[in-house]
Amino acid sequence: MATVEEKVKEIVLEILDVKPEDVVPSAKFIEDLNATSIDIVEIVTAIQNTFDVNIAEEEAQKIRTIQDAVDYLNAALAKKGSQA
Amino acid sequence: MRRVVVTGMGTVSSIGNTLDAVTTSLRESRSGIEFIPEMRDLGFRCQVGGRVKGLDVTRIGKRALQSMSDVARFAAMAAAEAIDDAKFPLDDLKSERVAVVVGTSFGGVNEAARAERVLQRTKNPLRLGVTGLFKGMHSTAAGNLASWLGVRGRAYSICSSFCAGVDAIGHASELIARGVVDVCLCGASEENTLRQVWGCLDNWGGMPSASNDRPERACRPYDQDRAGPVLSEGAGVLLLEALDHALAREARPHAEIVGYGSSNDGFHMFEPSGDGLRESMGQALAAAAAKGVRRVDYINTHGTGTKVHDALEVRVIREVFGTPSPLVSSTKALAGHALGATGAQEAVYTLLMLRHGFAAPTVNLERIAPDCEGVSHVQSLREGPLDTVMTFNAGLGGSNACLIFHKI
Repeated sequence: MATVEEKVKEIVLEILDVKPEDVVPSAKFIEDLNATSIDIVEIVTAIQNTFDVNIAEEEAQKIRTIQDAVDYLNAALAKKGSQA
Repeated sequence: MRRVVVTGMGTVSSIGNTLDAVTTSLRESRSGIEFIPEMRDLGFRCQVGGRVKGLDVTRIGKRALQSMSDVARFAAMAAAEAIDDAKFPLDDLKSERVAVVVGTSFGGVNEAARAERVLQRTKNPLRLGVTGLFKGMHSTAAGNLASWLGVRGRAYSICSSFCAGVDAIGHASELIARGVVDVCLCGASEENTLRQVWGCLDNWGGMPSASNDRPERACRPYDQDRAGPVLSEGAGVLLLEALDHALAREARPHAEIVGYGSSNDGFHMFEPSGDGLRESMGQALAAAAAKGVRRVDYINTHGTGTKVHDALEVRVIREVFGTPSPLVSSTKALAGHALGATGAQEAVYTLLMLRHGFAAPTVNLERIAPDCEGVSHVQSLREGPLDTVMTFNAGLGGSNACLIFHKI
C-alpha cells in the first residue's frame, strides 16, 4: 500500500510537468519545480480530495516544499483520526 | 470583400480522430455508435451513443491541459490537425491578424457538475481548486486555444445550439471577408453530456431504444422505422484564410466558402417551421450565385432521424432545389449527433467528400419513409468528383444555418 509520501508524489507528478527524480522532500514547489500559484492550489486541492481532509487556507499558504505538503497532510490526517 | 478559403481541417469524433480514419469510416460505413453501459446503469431506455475513442492529448502539453476539460481538449486536437493539414507555421498564429471562433452548446458541463457534487458533499469551497473556472466556462475552447497557440486576434465562442459549428465557421468567414483578420481557426466542440443533457432528449422526442443490441443500426434518418437521434461528442475545426494570404504563403486551399446563411424560425423552441431553414439555404445559395456558383452537387443534411424534422428537411430541399435534387445524405446515422459540435464535424466530413470525390450514404436507410421521398438520397457509397457541397443544421431555439463550399 502506498505511503502518504508516495501518494503525494503521485499527485504532484500528475499536476506538474516534472520528472519523478525531481520530486524529493526538500524540493521547493516554485523555485525547484516551476509550480505556479494555480499549480499549488490544485495540488493542495487534490491532496484534500484524495485523502478527504481539510487543510485550512492559512496553512495551505505556508506550504513551500514537498515535505511541507506531507507534514500538513499528516497533521490533517491525525486531526481527522482523533475526531473519528 | 475578400475571398475566404479552407486550407486545413481536423476533427475528433466517434468515427475517428484523424482525417484519414474519418475518411475510411465514411467510405466504408464504419459506425461510431456503440453500447454504453453507463446509460443502462442510469436507467436510460436508449443505451447507445457515440464516444470519442483513444484520443492521445499529450501533444497539448501538461501546462495547457491543466485548464482544459474535454470540450477544450477535443477542440485543441482538432485544431492541431487543421494546422498540420494547412501546413500553417505555428509562429504565424501569434498575431492580431489571427482569430479563434469555436462554438459549443453546453461548454464544460462535466466540471460544473463535479464541482457542485464536491461542494455539496464537503461544504468546503477550498475543495474546489481553481481550474474549474477555465474548464467549465462556455468560452473554454476558444480561450484555451488562444492561450495555447498565442493567438492575439478575436477569440470567443458562438452558440446557436446545433448550428454552433456552422455559425462559428460562417462568422469566421465574415471576419476574414471584411478584413478584420486574415486567418481563423473556427468550428465547434462538445464534450460528453450524457449525464446532464441526454436524458432530456430521451424523454422529449425519444431516442431509439430497440437497437441496444445492434448499436450501428439505431440511427435511421429518413427511414420508415426512424426512432430519434443517437447522441455523440467531439469537435471539428477548420483553418480559414483570406485567399490572398493563402496564396502568398503558397498554401493549397481545399475549398472556398462561397455561401453562408443563418436564420431563426422565430416560431418555437424545438418545433421547426421550415422557414428558417429555407431562408438560410436561400441566403447561402444567393451568396454562391453572386460568385458564379449556381449548382450544388451534394448536401450533408442535419438528418437526426427524428420523425418531424427529417420530413421537414426533405420538404424544404425539394422546395428550394426542385427535382432532381442534389445528392443528399446524413452522416449522423454513422457518427451520431454531437450536439453543438455536429455542424463543425459535418463541415469536415463534407469537405473530405469534396476532397476525395465521394458521397457517403445515409446508412440504415433501407425503406425511405413516404414523407421523406422526393430527393436524391444516397443509400450506398457514390464515387465520383464533386465541385460544390452544402452542409446545414437546425438547432433548438429555432436556429438554422447553412454553408456552401466550392472546390478551388
